[in-house]
Amino acid sequence: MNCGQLAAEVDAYVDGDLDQVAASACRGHLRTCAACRDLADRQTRLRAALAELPPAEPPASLWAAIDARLGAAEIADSRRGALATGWSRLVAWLRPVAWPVAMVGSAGAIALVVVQLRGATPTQPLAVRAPARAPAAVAPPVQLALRDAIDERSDLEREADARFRQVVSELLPLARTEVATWPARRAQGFAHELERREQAVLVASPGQVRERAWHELTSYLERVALGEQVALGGGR
Amino acid sequence: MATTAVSEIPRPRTDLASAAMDDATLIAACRRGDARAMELLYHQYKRRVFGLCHRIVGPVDAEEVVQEVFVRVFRGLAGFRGDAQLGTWIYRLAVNCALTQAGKQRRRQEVGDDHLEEVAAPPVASRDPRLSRRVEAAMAELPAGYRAILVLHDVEGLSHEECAAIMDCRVGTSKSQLHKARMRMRELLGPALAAERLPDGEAP
Repeated sequence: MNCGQLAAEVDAYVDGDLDQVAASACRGHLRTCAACRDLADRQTRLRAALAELPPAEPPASLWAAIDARLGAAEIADSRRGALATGWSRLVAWLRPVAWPVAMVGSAGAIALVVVQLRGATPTQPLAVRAPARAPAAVAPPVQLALRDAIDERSDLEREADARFRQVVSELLPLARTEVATWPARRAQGFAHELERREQAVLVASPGQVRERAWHELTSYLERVALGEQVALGGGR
Repeated sequence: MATTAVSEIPRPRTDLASAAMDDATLIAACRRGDARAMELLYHQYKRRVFGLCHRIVGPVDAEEVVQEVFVRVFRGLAGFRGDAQLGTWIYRLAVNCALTQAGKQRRRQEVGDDHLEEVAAPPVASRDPRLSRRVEAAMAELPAGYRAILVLHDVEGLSHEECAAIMDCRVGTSKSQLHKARMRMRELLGPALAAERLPDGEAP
C-alpha cells in the first residue's frame, strides 16, 4: 500500500468498514509512514469530535408553533371546499370550449380577413401582413366560414369574461374575509395588488391575453383566500 | 391568520399504548388526526430533525425549517406509501427542507447579507468545548450538501445505506460525498485537530 491508496482508504479504515486483510494492510502502512499516521490521527479526532458534538435541543415552544401552522392549513382546507365549487365550474367550462387551436393558429388568416371584411385599405401589402403559409387569396366561402369563426370567437370571449367575473365575485368575499384578519399595512398591499390585476384585465386585448389576465386575478384571489403567502403591492 | 391550536378542537382519539406502538399504528392514528399520536410522532423525531436542520441551516433559521418539515410530514402522511421507513422519509423531508433553506441563505449572502456569520454555535459544549466550537464553525463553512452528509453520517451516526436513502442517492455517492466533506473539514480545522496538543492559553 502506498500513501495515495491509504488516503483513499482512510475513511473506511477509521470507520472500521474495511475487512481484516485491507485493515491489516492499512495498519502496516501506518506503522511505516509518519505522514499517513498523522492523517489517520486527524481523521480519528475529527470523527470523535463530530460524534461528540452536543445535541441541538429543540425549543419547548416548537410543537405549539407546528400545531398553529397545521391549524392554519386546516382552515385553508375548509375554505378550499367553498372555492372548489366556483372554480371547478369554471375549469369544467373552459376545458372543452377554450380557444380552439385551429382558431388561435389561424389568427394571421383571421387578421387578414378582418381587414378585408371591414373594407379597410391595408397600409402594407397583404402578403406581408399574413403569415407566409396563409393562402394568398381567400375564396368567398372560406371568408364566410372565417367570419363565423370570428363571431363565435367574440361570443366565446364574452362568455369567458362573464364566467371569470362570476368566479371573481365568488372569490372576492372569501379573500376579503382572510384580509380582514391582516394588519392594516398588509391589507393595503392587498388592495393595491387587487387593483393592479383588475386594471390588467381591463386593458388586456380580448382572447388569450385577457384570459391570462383573468387567471392572474382569480389565482391571486384564490391564494389570498387560502391564506397562502402572496405578493403585496405598495411596499412592505 | 387567526387559528385555534390543533389540540384545542375535538379530535378522534385512539387507545394508544404509546410505548409499544409501531410505525404503522402511529401513522394510521396521525392520518385520522389523533392529536396525541401526532404529538407522539413529533416527540419521537424532533431531536434528530432539529439536530439535522440546526446544523444544516444554522440556529437562526432552524426553528422555521423544522416547523415546515413537520407540517409537511403531517400533511403528507396521507400520501406516504410506506416504501421507505417512516424515519427515512421524515429525515429526507428534513434534509430537503434544510437544503432548500440553505440555498436561499446562500443567495441572500451573495447579495450582501452578512448576518449568517453567526451560523451554528450551540449553547452547550461537549468534552472538548474548544474543539466543538471549531468543528461547528468549520461545518458552517462547508457547502450545504457536504454539511448534510457529514451530519447524517458522522454526527447522527447513520449508515451509508441510510444516508443514501435519505439523500436519495447511491451508496457510492454518499461515500464519496462524505470523503470530500471530511477532507474539507480537515483542511478547515488545520492544527485544531491536534487539539490535545494545543497550549492551554490559545483562544478557541
